[in-house]
Amino acid sequence: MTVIGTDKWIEESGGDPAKICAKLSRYFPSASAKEIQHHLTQFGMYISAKQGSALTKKLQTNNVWDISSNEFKLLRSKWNGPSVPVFIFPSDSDNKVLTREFNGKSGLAFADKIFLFISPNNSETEIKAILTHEYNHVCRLNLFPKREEDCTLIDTIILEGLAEVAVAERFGEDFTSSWTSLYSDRQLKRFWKEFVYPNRDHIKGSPIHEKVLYGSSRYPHMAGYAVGYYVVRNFLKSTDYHAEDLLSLPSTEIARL
Amino acid sequence: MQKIYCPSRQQKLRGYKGSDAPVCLSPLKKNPSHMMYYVESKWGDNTMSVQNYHALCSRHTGRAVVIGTRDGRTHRGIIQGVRGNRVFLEPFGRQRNIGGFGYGFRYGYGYGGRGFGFGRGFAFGAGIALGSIVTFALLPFFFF
Repeated sequence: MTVIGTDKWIEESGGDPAKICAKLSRYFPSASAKEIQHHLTQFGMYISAKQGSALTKKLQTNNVWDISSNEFKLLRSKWNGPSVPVFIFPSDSDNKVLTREFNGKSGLAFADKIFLFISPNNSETEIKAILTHEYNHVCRLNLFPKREEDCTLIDTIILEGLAEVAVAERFGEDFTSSWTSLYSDRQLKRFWKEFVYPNRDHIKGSPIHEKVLYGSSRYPHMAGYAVGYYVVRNFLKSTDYHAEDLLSLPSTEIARL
Repeated sequence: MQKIYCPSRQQKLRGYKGSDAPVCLSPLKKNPSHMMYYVESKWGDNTMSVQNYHALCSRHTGRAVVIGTRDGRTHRGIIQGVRGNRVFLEPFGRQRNIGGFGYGFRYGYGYGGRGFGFGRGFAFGAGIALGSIVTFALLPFFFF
């Protein structure tokens, strides 16, 4: 299974996200369609039926599904990864934060599926970059001994760092996410010591994990993501490895704990 | 013209100004155990303006409500806030975390969360368009 024809789904259902999520429920055995919709919209999926059908037409003219399909085949042979379904949906064009900071693109990866939320403004390389990021997660999650719910903060930031290093290696620093260049190395070193290291054992889903990762309340914006990129970059500098060689390496080894 | 049923005491609805203020009827006749206000338009369609719903929803921030939308769905939750032409609800109970690893964007976190000014960690992602609201009812606290 590769890229799913979600453009056809949107055309058939008139763009209604609730109907789309009902179709998705067989990929989420333990969640209802409403819960899936709530979860996906949190990560940048489009909101209204009108938005959905208008944006899908634009994405179709940009050949987003073909580009992703070819890129996915390339990545699979490169990393020897599993075959997982890739769902592509338009992103929420009305969200100013998403547009300003991420140029309207977002994604979500599970061990067995990928979601991409793309805006019509995204270039071909940007689409390839986000697919690279998310597929890197899939490959690592499948080589990783831990289950997703047992992942700790250190695992998450290394996972995110690895994915973005893979993007930087393939397409250059220009196509990495905005959070890779938010802070200087000195700041990141301090963040690691002050915010990430003391909280490294908080498991995924706990409030501290989310706060450090995204940087809300007293934590700097996108602290976890930025520190993850910094840690992986530092590790690669001192070794001859490439990002894809680290896919199965334990997080504690990469972070040199 | 809209009719608004109020609780047993005559209560003046704040937030309405001028001649288009809805008529306030008392006492509450419909389903008194569940609803404190019941808003409906004379013709059964949504003729209450977006501005009125904006005022109504922002006035009841933090309250438990049931909102019916034009497509026939009902949404239950606590109003987190109104932004633009959408009202955001936090669903009752603990939301199950479906998981997954994102690209860095998550609604309600980072700048998004701060800009919104919500106290809780995350906001209900989608929100409800004010223009699509047909019914709006407040829930008393024992109801959820």
